[in-house]
Amino acid sequence: MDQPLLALKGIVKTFGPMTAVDSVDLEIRAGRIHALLGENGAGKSTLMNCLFGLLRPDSGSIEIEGVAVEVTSPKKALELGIGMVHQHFKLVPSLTVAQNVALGREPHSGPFVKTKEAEATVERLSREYGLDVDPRSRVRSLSVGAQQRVEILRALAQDVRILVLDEPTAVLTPAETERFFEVIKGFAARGLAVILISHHLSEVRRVADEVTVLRQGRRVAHSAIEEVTNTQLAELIIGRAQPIVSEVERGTPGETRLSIDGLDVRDGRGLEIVHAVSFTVRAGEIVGVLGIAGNGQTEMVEAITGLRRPASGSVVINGIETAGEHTGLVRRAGLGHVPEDRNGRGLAGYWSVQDNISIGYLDTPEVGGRLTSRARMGALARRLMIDFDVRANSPQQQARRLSGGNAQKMVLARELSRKPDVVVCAEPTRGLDIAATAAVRSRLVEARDLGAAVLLVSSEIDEVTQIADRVLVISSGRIVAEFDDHRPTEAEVGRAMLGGHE
Amino acid sequence: MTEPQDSETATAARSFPGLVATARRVVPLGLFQSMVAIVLGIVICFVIMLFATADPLVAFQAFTLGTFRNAYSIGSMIAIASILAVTAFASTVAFRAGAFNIGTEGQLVLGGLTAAIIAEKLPGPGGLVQVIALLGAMAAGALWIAIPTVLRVRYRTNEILTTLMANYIAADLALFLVNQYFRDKGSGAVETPPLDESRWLLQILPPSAANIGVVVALVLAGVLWLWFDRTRAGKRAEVSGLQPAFAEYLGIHSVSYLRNSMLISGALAGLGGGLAILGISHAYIDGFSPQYGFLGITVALIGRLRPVGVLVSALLYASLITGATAMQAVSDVPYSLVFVLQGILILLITSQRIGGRRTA
Ligand SMILES: Nc1ncnc2c1ncn2[C@@H]1O[C@H](COP(=O)(O)OP(=O)(O)OP(=O)(O)O)[C@@H](O)[C@H]1O
Ligand SMILES: [Mg+2]
Repeated sequence: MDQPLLALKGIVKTFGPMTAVDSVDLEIRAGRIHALLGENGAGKSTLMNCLFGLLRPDSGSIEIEGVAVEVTSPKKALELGIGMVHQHFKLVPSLTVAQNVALGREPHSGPFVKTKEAEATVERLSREYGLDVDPRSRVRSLSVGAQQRVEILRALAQDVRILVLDEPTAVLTPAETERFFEVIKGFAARGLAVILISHHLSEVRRVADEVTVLRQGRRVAHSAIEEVTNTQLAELIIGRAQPIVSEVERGTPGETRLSIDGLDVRDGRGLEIVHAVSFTVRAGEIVGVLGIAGNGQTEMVEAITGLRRPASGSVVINGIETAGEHTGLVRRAGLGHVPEDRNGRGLAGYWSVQDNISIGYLDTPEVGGRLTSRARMGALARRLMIDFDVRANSPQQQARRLSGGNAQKMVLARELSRKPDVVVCAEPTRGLDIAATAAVRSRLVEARDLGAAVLLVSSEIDEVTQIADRVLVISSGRIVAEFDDHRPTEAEVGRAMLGGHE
Repeated sequence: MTEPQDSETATAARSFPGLVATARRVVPLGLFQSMVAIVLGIVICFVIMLFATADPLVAFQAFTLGTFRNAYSIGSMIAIASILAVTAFASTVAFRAGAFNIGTEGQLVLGGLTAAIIAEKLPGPGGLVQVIALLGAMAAGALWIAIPTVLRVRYRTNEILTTLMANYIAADLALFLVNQYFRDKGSGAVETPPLDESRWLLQILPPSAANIGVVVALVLAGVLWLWFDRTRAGKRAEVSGLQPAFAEYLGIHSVSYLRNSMLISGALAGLGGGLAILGISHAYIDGFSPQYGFLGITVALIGRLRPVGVLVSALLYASLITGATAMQAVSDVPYSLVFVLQGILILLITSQRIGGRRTA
């Protein structure tokens, strides 16, 4: 057989007592798209960080075209032609998009950076790849979706032979994802090698040529994509047969818990981005708001949860008017919120898992009282980590060292376990593996059955159509369709999502 | 009107990512990294001595062990350590809340002056006057940070700049006030009349300067430990500084935590000044502070913004300061080596990876 472009041999990476990557071999060929699969915490990002020089493996070697190389830093990786789109974005918030994309390789004449040229490059790339961003806006002011696009552009702007994509499509719209896959297929056709990490088997099947599956740091399978079925892959990933998803019964709604009336919201630039949205969510009911990312959902959720002052309209939680009130009051009114921007809003990366969980419980006797008790905080954290399957080495582990999916589970654990009357969750299963996704969905159903009013805002059609009792479709900041007598089919909502502008 | 202010804080914190990032990193890093920094710092000092003097070993021995040659200098070390600990606590309270008060020196000077004036002018029993003088010192410190606080909270003005500038104003203001109104007419120097012995803080190791200020430092350490580790408010203040967007999401009024932390920080720095006047110099003397405020910043960072860590690093640092005095006497290496060491330590502590493993 021909020589692989890149070979990882026997890579081992341990963090203290735990082995995140356990003698993994990986061979990547030019012109192929290689999918790397595995459950949350399987070691996918860790392995790729070793390849990209962000982590040094404890043992093992990396060969490019048969020549052993030492990847000591990301800079070295780039010199070797390895580029990476990170799961946790590594952008500089205070710089503009163009500055971020050009960082370290700014076009210059003498000591002066040619800003115009950098911006033109970004504009060209953004047109070429169909990833819409304004080169002049500061990264700090961008939505997570836009940050993802910048992160991708930055990797594409480099002249690389091997491109690593760690869950690159998590926050892209379907159209962007489609376009992006065309782009990487084009790369492969030009002889580049692409490594793609994703939890979406359908995506993987569409683009990948080969798959490797990791479980608990070990490689458990490697084959051409045609040789395995999705069911087999799912089984390999979670290590057992996939539970059959039974149809979720529809709930029996009670009194109104959350009511939104005539909500208008402006974005940071003062443009009206949510127009006259009205709906209610009753106890014992899941209302799904479905829409392509960037149609005002983010701002709507912020307005409902107190993070943004609405231009007009009312938000009533448990009978208390909360529009424009401080988040403290909104939470006391009975809100639990799983935010879209997990790393910015939903957790403190430099805090331990224990602190991140118990901060949501400070006002309860569970950890509170006059003095908080570390022992009780630890016990609470341990209990919830088991309940919600948050895999960390210990409750003391820093949240930023959790795998992406486990960080999300930690946020869910804090918010859902308090049994709030009203649950607002935005993209609650983003970044979760198949099993965890199923678990979260059944959690939401369970919360509903215990009498919570659940507002589920998502861009995943199947997520909403599987569990929501009523479905609203949002487009350009308006509710354009509502299904309340039956669960709509994917085709029905798909039409409503695209044909939003009647 | 609280909500927009919260997001303003968030934006303000994001506008100087360097320092915010530093403070974020400083807390979680272990004491091990601090030790590495100190050892490295001392080694670099030794290298400097190799060039600065013909007899580097003598100088080095005096610098590191000079403090411990007799009870008197151990006493001075303890006296200095307690003040450093108090000013370091001032920095700790602010840094942990995400407010970079680097104006502790100015707050300390004005606190010291206030204490000196109250102790001199106010009649009454010694103990009571001492307490009032110390409270006055705290009020003066808080007052001196009030303007930067308002600017930060209301107008998002970078408090690093404002508190830094306030230091220079404080120094000139103190000079002016003493010269104009409070100067000891019998002395040629810029100083207030010597305080009556009844105004002195109780000495614990006479004749050395060690005094009950050390008890104040210990009590403060206990209170801060409780506050940060055991109270809800402490946790909330911490997250307000660490990640304002997360605090806002959690429903925490980060602005009030920011404001209160800044005021408390100023008050503690003022208290440090009061303790230095009543406990060590026994009069306001121009230059009574060998930069206790600035040194406190280093001590706080070395102690990783943790109360016990700060106590230990204050002791260590004070022993080097006392040692440097001894060194100056026995060799031709000047006392200012202390400031070189300070610069080195700040660099080492704020650069990310000392002694630690590289992590993503
Ligand atoms: N710096 C670190 N320190 C300690 N443990 C770590 C560190 N980085 C990762 N881990 C642990 O290593 C394991 C593998 O993490 P990794 O991020 O590679 O998972 P992943 O496969 O990318 O999962 P996900 O799909 O959730 O992103 C996790 O259990 C995680 O807690
Ligand atoms: Mg990952």
